[in-house]
Order: sequence, then C-alpha cells, then structure tokens
Amino acid sequence: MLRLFDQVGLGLALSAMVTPALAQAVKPGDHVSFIACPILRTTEFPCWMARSGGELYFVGVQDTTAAVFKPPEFQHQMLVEGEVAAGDRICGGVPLKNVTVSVRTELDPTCNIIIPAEGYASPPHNRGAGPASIQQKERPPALDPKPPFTAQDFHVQYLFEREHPWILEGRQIEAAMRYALASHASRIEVVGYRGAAKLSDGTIVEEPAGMARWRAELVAEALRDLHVEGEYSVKWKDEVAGYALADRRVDIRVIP
Amino acid sequence: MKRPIGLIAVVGAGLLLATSIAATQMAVVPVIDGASAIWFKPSARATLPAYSEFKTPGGRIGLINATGPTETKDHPFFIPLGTNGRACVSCHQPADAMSLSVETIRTRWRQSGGSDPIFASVDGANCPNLPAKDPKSHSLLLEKGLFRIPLPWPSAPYAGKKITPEFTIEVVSDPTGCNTNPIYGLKSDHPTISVYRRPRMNANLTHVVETGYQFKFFSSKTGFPLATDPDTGKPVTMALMSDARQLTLKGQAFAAAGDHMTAKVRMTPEQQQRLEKFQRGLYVAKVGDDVGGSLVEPGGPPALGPLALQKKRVGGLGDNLNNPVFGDFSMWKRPDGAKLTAAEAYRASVARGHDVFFLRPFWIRDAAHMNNIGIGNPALRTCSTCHNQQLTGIDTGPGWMDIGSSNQPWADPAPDLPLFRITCDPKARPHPYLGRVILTHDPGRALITGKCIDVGAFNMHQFRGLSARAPYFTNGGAATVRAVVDFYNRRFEMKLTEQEASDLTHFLEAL
Repeated sequence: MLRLFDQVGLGLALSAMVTPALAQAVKPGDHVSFIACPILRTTEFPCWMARSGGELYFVGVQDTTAAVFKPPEFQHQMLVEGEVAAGDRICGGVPLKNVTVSVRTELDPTCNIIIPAEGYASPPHNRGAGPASIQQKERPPALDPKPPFTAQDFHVQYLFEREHPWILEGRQIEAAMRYALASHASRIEVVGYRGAAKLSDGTIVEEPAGMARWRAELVAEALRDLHVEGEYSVKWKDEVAGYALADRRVDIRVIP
Repeated sequence: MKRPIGLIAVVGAGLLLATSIAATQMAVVPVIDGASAIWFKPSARATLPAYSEFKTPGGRIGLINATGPTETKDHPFFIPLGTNGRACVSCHQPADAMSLSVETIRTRWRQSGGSDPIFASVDGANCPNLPAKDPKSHSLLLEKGLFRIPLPWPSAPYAGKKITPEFTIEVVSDPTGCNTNPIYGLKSDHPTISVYRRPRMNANLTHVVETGYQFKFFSSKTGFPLATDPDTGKPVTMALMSDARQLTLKGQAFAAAGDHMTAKVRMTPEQQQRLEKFQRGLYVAKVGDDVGGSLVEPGGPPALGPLALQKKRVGGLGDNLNNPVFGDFSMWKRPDGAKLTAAEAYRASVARGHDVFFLRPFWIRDAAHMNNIGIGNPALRTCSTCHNQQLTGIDTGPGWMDIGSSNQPWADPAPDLPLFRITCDPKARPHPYLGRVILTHDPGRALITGKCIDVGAFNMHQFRGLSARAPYFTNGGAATVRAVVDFYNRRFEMKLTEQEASDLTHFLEAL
C-alpha cells in the first residue's frame, strides 16, 4: 500500500498524462456527469478534485457527517453529477454547483491520487480540520403530527449505489415513523426504486439489479425496528426508474 | 524509584469531597479479611467505600461509589453468581479502574498458584482443553490480559433477527489450538470461533449506555435505527461491549453470569437490579501523579478526576471549541523556556498533549465506519474527531470502527493470536477499504452482524483510568499508553515529533 505522501509523485505523473488539447470546453450551466477516481489536492485545507474529458474539476471539500455534500473516498471511483458553476476556478478546477458525489461500491486501488497544493489557496469550507468552532446544537425534539390524519407520503433519497440513507435522508424514515405512530397507521406501503446515470459521454450506468429490493426491505425493517406496526406492503421496481437523482429512492406511504 | 503497590488513604477533605461527598467522608482504605488489600476476592467480607483511591503505576486513581459504602459479602457484584467461583469483581477490580491489568493478573497467578477463578478454563485459558495451572495454557491472559471469547458461528440471532453471514471464515493460523479443536472449534458440533479480548471498564457507565447527543433514533454510522432496549423500547448507544453483542447492562450481566461465571441458575431480578444500580454509580479516573502531584486541585483542569464524570450530563459531543472533549487545560501551560519544577513540567506536558489530541490534524484514512460515513477518505481531522464524547473519549456516533487494530495489513504482528481469512460473498457489500478477502486476528462486530463491512470493527474503549489497566486495544496489542500512541502514529502517518508523542502519552495517562 503506498504511503500517503509517496502517492504525490504518482499523482503528478497521472495528472501529466492528460493532454490539455483534448479538453472539451465547458461553460456555466452545463450539466456534467462522469465517473472518475477522486484526486486530493493538498492545499492547507484539502480540495477534492476530479478529471474528466480532459478537464480538472473542483468537486468539493470535507465537512461534517450531517452535511449535504458527501466527499469521495480513496480506493473507490465516484460518480460526479452536477452543473458547471460560474466563477473562477477553485484549487485549479472548474467549479461545480448542485454537485453530488456517489462513492461506488467496488474497490479500485488505483484511486489514490494526490496532487500538491501548487500554490492554490484553500477552498471555501464550513468546518476546518480541527474541532468545530461551536458545538452543534442538539436538534429540538420533533413535534408529533396532529390530527386530522390522511395518507401521507415520504421519500427517502439515496446516493448512487447506496442502500443505506445518510443522516439527513434517514430523517424521512423518522418522519414516517412519527406519522405512523401518531396516526396509529393501519398500513405501511414501501416501494423501492433503482436508478441509473447518463454520463456526459452518453454511457448509461445502472445501479445494480437488486438495489430496489435491498432499499425497500431495509426501510421496512427500519420502520419495524422503530416499532411502527400495521400491515406492511413491501414492493420494489426492478426496472430502472430513470436517470434523475430522485429515481434512486424509497417511497413510504403511511395510511392511518 | 520503586512505586509500592498499596492503598492510599486521603486524609482531610478537599474540593473533591466538599462538593459531592459528605465533608466528613474520606477516601477509606478497603479492608478485606482484616488487612488492607487491593484484590477483591469473590465473597470476601469488605466494604467498598463511597470514595477510595488506589495506587497505580505512576500515580493513583479515585473511585466514586455513588450508592454509598457497600458491603460486599452478599452483593451480586462481589459474590460468585455461577459455578466457577468468579464474581463480577473478579475481572472488574476497583484497583484496576474496574477492569483488570495484566500486572494484576500475573500477581494473582503467583499468589494463587494459578488457581484463582480468573484462570478458569472456560475462558481464562487459551482453550478449555489445555492443562490447567500450566502458564502456557493461560499465556494470552498472563501476557496480554486476554480472555477467550467463544462465539457461535454463524452468529446467533441478534436483536431478535436471524443473521445470514455474508462471509466464510477459514483458520489460517491457530496458535491456541482452539479454533481447530474438534470440540471447541469452527468445525465442532457447535461451531464456535474463539477470539481473545480485554475486559472492558465497568465504570462511568452512564456515559457509555445512555444516548446523549442528538442521535436519538439513528446511528450516524449505519444510517439506520439504533437497537433498542428490549425492556423499554428506547434506543441504546450500542457502545457497551466491543462488538455490541449485548445492548444493555441487564443483558450483559445475564450473559456474563452464564458465559464467564458458568452460572446454571439465572440471577434474580432483584440481584440484577441491585447490580445495575451499583454499576451505574461507579465513576473512576486518575486523581494523582507521582511527578505531577494532585490532578484534582482547585483551579486545575475541570475534566480530571471522577467527580467530573459523576456531575457531567452524559453523551455530549466534544469535538468543538465550546465544550471540548476534555475541557480546558490552559491553566497548566507554561511559556517555552520557563524554569519549571518537575510537577510543573509534567503538567505543561499534559497540557501540550491535550492540544495534540484536540487540535492537531492528521490524515484519517481507510478507517471503516469513519471515513465511509460521509467525511471522505482520507479526511484531515484530529483525534477528537473520533474520540469525541465529553469526558470519556468514546464516540457519540455511536458505533464500532475498524482502525486496523486487528485487520491486516495494519495490525501489529501478533503470532500468539489466531489469524482468520474472511472471504466475503461476491454479492455482499465489501469492506470499504479491504475488499472481500481480509486477514484478521478478530473479526469484531462482524461476528455479530455477519456483515463484511464490519470485519475488524470494535467499539472504542474509554480513556479514563488508563494508567491502572494496561494493556490496551481490544486485543491487548499495546502494552503501554505510549504503544497506543505509536500505533496511531504509524497507522495514520501522523509524523508526531518525539515531544508530541511524549506529551500525548502524558495527557492520556492523566485521564
């Protein structure tokens, strides 16, 4: 296994292999979607980057576990989906907005690229590498829903190839739980979906077969673990639901 | 300087006593069978005082017993609950910060000729078939303080659910002979895997078992609900045991009585309730250092000493400048180059070590259940990122983590421990950084969940009273606190200077 700082040389070598002449010019507003190895630039506060189509992109920065943006992981390729943002390059990369990074499941040991700071400034970031400046406030207890109760829908979103929700998405399961308990739900309907990604080069990458089922069953199990009783209907759609982020989801319907 | 092992009676009331314990009480020397002693034998007639102190290597620890002076003679913590003569106190000794140090184990071996119940073959030997009272049969206990933990394989149902393993286990190396034994091993009629682990600290447990900060329903590690107490239905922290196989003190007590004490009759509900009340009232931490002097003087670091643990609201997230994990140590800082007494120099080192722990970033990398929970791999963070719970240094996450203490390639060489090859199903989600074939000395949490992603993951131990209970890590792989620091320095390429490593060691030893 390469020592972390020995990988800098490898990163420089790999970076140099890209031919700038092949770079396709991107402009603000362009949607980009690609799979690549993450690249770490060792600015004082690190930048996560990626190369695709001959271009270097700034993908994001590390944050807390509750942050919306999830950074990539060495030893895994990532699916980057976002929109080219206006403005200057960050860490030498084209900035993206509304960017989602999905860490792919299978290991790729070549995904370990580090590039030096090269004089670039640290990117904007919410939380430094040290302790947070303030203690995260404890979430106030959620208010239990009040009657009248009608059938209510909840949608749990997933990153590509992920069968577990993150903290924020998991709160939809919690919300469904609260509604079900408050309304003494008679029936819980869970439907899982799997999606796909249409990459910028036209390639279609699907989430694995079985993903819809895994998601649905895990959500149903979670609700049961949270003591949500009632008749359960757990279904899944094996066919790809679509290419949007929202197509990678589980729908929960709580029927009082 | 030789440091005699013995009990120290604190004469006079100090701040520690004035604020919580009645001013007339002092740290009383427990007396057993007419003599002061540091070893609580099961069924001994003694009193565990409301407050006591015990000498440890390099200093002393203080133990608060909030239930008040406790007669041990018929107390369920102190009497054998099974058939092999052991009591809870056998492996959770007050003088060892409610754990058991390897030095104490060796002393007991010498004193008892190997006949103390802690050496009972069921798990005090490398394997039950080995000749009793032969030190070779108990080498893991005598050399690393490890008890055998036999677990069924495939896993037993957990939290009411059947477990379908995602992997197979092969024995690559079996120095104890237990995993390949026809009666006790993986191919026996009751397939069992034997791993070897340290007893955990039976104190400060309110901080360990009560959910505190924010994650009241969900685990931030798994994204799914926390397990719940089968009696109350409330979420539990899942931080009590190294593999979270028991979720509550009640569950652990019954399991320990059956497994470690070979109880054939279940303890009564009254015994269990009395036991739990006692356990929840125990708070222990270091209170004095042979060089640094009292650690609990007025005006000193407020996190030190057991009173801080007794008084503090449980479960707070301390990875922030508002309410740091171990509070403020600035009063012990001194300017560089200042002329200092030995005590001042020690305290200044502790303060610097605190800053290494709390403020010094390094790359955390390839740690399953840390880097893959949304902070990226690697992440530039500090020790307090993972060791974030106020006053204990466990993880409020909660949950287990694989830092490589048991998994190759990172684990320190351990030819005395079994080595297993874990081969994951091609359809299972792989370990995020080791893939689907893993060599490990202890699969950890994965033996309970059957999940590949959990191989080698353990709940971290508390940081309190460390100096009383070497060695460290679940597999006893670090003989000293400095060895713990060296492991992290190597594993995460922290590039600590010698000064930083020494300071960090002093800080951890002061807790």
